[in-house]
Amino acid sequence: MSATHEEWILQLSGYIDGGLSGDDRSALEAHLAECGECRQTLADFRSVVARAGELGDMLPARDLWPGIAGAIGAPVSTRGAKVIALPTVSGAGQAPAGIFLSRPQLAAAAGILMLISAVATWTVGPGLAAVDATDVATAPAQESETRFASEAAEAPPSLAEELRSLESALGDLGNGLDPNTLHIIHRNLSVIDRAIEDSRRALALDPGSDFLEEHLVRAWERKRDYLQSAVRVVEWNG
Amino acid sequence: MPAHAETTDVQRAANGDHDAFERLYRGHVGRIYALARRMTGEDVAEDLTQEVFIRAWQKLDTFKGTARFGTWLHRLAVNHILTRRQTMTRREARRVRSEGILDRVTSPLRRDSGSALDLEAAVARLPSGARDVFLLYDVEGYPHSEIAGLMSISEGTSKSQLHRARALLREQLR
Repeated sequence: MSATHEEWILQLSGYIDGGLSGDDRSALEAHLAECGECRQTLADFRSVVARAGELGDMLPARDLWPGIAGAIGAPVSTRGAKVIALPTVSGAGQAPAGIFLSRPQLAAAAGILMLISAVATWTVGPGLAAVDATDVATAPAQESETRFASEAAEAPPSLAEELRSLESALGDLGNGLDPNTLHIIHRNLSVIDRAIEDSRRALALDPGSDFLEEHLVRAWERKRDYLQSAVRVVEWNG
Repeated sequence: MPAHAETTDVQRAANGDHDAFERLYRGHVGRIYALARRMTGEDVAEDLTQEVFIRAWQKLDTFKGTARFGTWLHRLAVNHILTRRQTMTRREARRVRSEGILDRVTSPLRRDSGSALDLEAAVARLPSGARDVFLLYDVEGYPHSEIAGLMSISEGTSKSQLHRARALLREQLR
């Protein structure tokens, strides 16, 4: 009894992979000689397999090493890296993109920090004041303090270690930073911390809310991303 | 990275050298992240990649050097991702599902270009079982016998899932 068309189709993957016995292979090849539709399907399958072999590696949009280093007890590097990857917005379904910049492109520390400042303020949400030049000009003396107060213990366990590590690294690197730059970092972190605190309070009032829980985690993630960007920029200009 | 340099770094890392382990991370993060992202989605791929490398650090003393470090690391990653996916928290699972739904709405396949991006998007739309087998067999080169062991399925199921994946991709891409 001869196989149905669907049964021939089912054998095509095995045929491509060399998994058919001699008799089955001969029978399928005889069918293929007569059936244009099966030949087309075979060609399409081969095309899919060939393209699968061409799928390459992808790099994450941010450097994951600081988180790993924190977890395994390694110091976060304070040396200049060869390249840095700044977080970018990647579209759905797209390969992730990192922006790789050379050292000369990073020469303007203040400009980049202002950009980070704007991004951080934007991501925290509307209604929160951006840091402006007036803020910088009136930076209080106590903000030359390079320690970054840590509430990382309150963060979700998956982020706490990384946050502690980044805050520590930023504290170490911050020595000698321009006071205005330091002020911008402090101010932006305080904006994010306010968002965290607001989310915490809301969650305390409605502890079952998935939305608020999600919102709180996102806020912690924004703090991590900001700290990572700040550490990288400071490293590069140190 | 040359094989002998990598072997030296593996030995150093196993003895606690963080710099050597960072070099190993930099050399392999692209492949591990790609695997995690394709198997789980963008939202959790970074966390999973970090977890894989942390786990690799913890288990370096079990690496005997009979295979390449990259091969050992990749198998560790597949195991970790498959296990971790089963125990994802409700919140993570929901985020991954939401992302998948968003993908379907916002990024229709560009059927005329035939780019790698199209294939990535089409793979992301596959049912998870078919996607896993397709990624492990056609992208990563694992044999069905090993896929069966990793995924706790029979070889026959692995083969039928592969056929299903190829057939679905053919429909999406042609």
